[in-house]
Amino acid sequence: MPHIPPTIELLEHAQLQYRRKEYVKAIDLLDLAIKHEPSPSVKLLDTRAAVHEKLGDHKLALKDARTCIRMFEKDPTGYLRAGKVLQIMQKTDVALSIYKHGISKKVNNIELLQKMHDKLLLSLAPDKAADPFAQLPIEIVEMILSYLNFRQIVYCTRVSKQWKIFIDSLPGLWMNLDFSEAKKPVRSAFLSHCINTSRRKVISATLKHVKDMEKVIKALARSCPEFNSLRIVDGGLQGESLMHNLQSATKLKKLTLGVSAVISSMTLPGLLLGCENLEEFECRAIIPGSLNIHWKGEFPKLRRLKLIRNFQSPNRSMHILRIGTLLALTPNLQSLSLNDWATPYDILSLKEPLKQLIELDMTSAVSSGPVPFPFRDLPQTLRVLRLDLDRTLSSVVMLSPKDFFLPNLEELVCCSTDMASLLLSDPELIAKYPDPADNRFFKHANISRLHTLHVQCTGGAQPVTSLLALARLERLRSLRLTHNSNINDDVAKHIATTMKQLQDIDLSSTMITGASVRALVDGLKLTLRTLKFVNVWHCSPDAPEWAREQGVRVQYSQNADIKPKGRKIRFE
Amino acid sequence: MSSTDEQKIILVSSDGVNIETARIIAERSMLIKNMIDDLGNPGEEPIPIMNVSEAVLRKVLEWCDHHKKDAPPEKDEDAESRKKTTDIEEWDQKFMQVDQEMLFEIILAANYMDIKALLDVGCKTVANMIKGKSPEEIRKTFNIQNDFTPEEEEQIRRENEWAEDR
Repeated sequence: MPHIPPTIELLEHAQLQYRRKEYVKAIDLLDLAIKHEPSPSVKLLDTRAAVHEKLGDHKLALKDARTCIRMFEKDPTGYLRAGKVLQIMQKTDVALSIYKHGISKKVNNIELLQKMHDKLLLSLAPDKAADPFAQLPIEIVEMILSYLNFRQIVYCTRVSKQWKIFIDSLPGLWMNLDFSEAKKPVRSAFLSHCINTSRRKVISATLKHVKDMEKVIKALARSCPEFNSLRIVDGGLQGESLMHNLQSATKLKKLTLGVSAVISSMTLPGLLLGCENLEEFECRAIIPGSLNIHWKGEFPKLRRLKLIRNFQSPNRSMHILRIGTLLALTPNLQSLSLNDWATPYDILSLKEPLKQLIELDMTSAVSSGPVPFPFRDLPQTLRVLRLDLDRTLSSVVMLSPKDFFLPNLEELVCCSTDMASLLLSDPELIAKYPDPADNRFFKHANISRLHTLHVQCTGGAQPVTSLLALARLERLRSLRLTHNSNINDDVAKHIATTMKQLQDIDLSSTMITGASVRALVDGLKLTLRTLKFVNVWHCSPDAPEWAREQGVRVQYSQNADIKPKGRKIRFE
Repeated sequence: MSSTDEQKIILVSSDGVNIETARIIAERSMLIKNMIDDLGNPGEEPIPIMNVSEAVLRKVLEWCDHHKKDAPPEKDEDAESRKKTTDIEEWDQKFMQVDQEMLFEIILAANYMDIKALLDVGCKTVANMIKGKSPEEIRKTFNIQNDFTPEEEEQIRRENEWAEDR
């Protein structure tokens, strides 16, 4: 066995060779030393890394530097070497993160590492880069920040001391707290910081991932007199405790419980009773409880009420929410949305209790099966009426048109042509001209505000033409008539010649052919923007293609198994 | 075109250079518009623009020229909706592709010359340079020194951990 000199001697020799730029010789000596040294020193490893670096063996140099970092976590040498090699390799981002890693490990001589880190960072900045907070006057920086959301603004406090001091000095940035983008828990200490920084002027809060939700709501309600809008995105609060906590928030004007903030229908009356100043109340995940809910109190300030059933709640027969008695307590309601519920039979009349109603939405995202039309009358103030697309309204023919005079209607979504005709007719004119063949509603066109009509026509005793003959439809901008085998090219031609302001048309699942496409695109050249035909089996693909060439956005698709068999229209 | 549109006026930059431009272009600046309204006899005397150098003034006028036919600025009722979006139209985006020194100069000039729409575009441009970036990347972008001690940084990080991007 050959004699091996002590490691320290080998290192000295190697360093001598290094100075003489005899790198290959130096490597040999260092390899030998490290091979026989059970615990090589930082100096030894780093010297070899330096020689590898000189030889251009960057990977080997990096390997030694990494061994240094692994074995001597508190020694800056490995981090510095790795950073240097990585910069030669032009991997500056990795170099930067190595320096940061070292700083986070609190190495000895941390200033050295920090200096290298900052130097590298500076060199990376683009030419003529400058801190906007230092270059621009305060009011302009404030304008810039106003384009960022709350999360981004908070994140910016980490940039530098100046940024943090500046952002913390503007109470206006802290008045609307929005944690909806929180991906990690929000500590209650941070909430205290927000409240203090806003100088107790928090106006609204959107809470998500908030620890100690109860404490937070209480703190906001008690210490911020202007606090008036609360949105709870996720759970963490049971109905009872929410009720209890909101009692201090007497000034609350707007309360929204998101889809993850599940609540029982039985807690709704108590919740409302505690918030007498509420103007808007929205609950997106209600679990139906007992049928008998006892609504109490008076809510003259309530303008908007939106109650959505939790779509996961089982037991379909229980999907009923009785709010008949509540509507008697909310005389100034303007917008009512009851979504995903079976028909509430206890509200037959809306004309009496809700004289101010502007919007009524009873659509369902989840199909709830056929139910009869629930109302005997509707208030004339209605501008938006959306009824369930999934329901067939067999009972509608039994109703008298005189109760449904809706002169202010702007948007109607419903599910049969009969029903649409009924809701859009003018009873006085019907009395005058009982024969539908007369152009009986012509007078109406001058006052009609109707711009949107969506009818999924699953059936109807009267032909669709009597609906389309209504002069009130002349100013429509959006028309959707789908799932109806009575809609053919003649109907489309009628549409193209009478409704000259149409922008968006959907005639999916109808009998139209390419001739309709041509008639609509030609007839509505000035206004038409989108055409939708899904499952129009008589229309071959060249018609929508032609429409696209004319600059119309077209959505066209067919059920895979059914081949288009329509007569071909030649498009030039 | 009316005669007001074609009327020429002369602006003087802070470094003493005369720049001739059309009145309709220059009047995108409320500062200039008010000066013309107050002084009368536009075109007779050059208008000094004290705080804006020639290079920046030419750039600002280029923007005004492109936007000379825009509708007059909206009233403050739209302030809220305006603030939500940082979308910038394509021409303006290209226009703002300048180094940061020039970008800030344009913003300062727009502020001084009272050209609200240009000021908005400038602020949006800076906001977009901040948006979606980590504090480290923001420092890199604007050449900012991280002057927090590791302890301070750790404390802030713990406090607002929720705001992290991932």
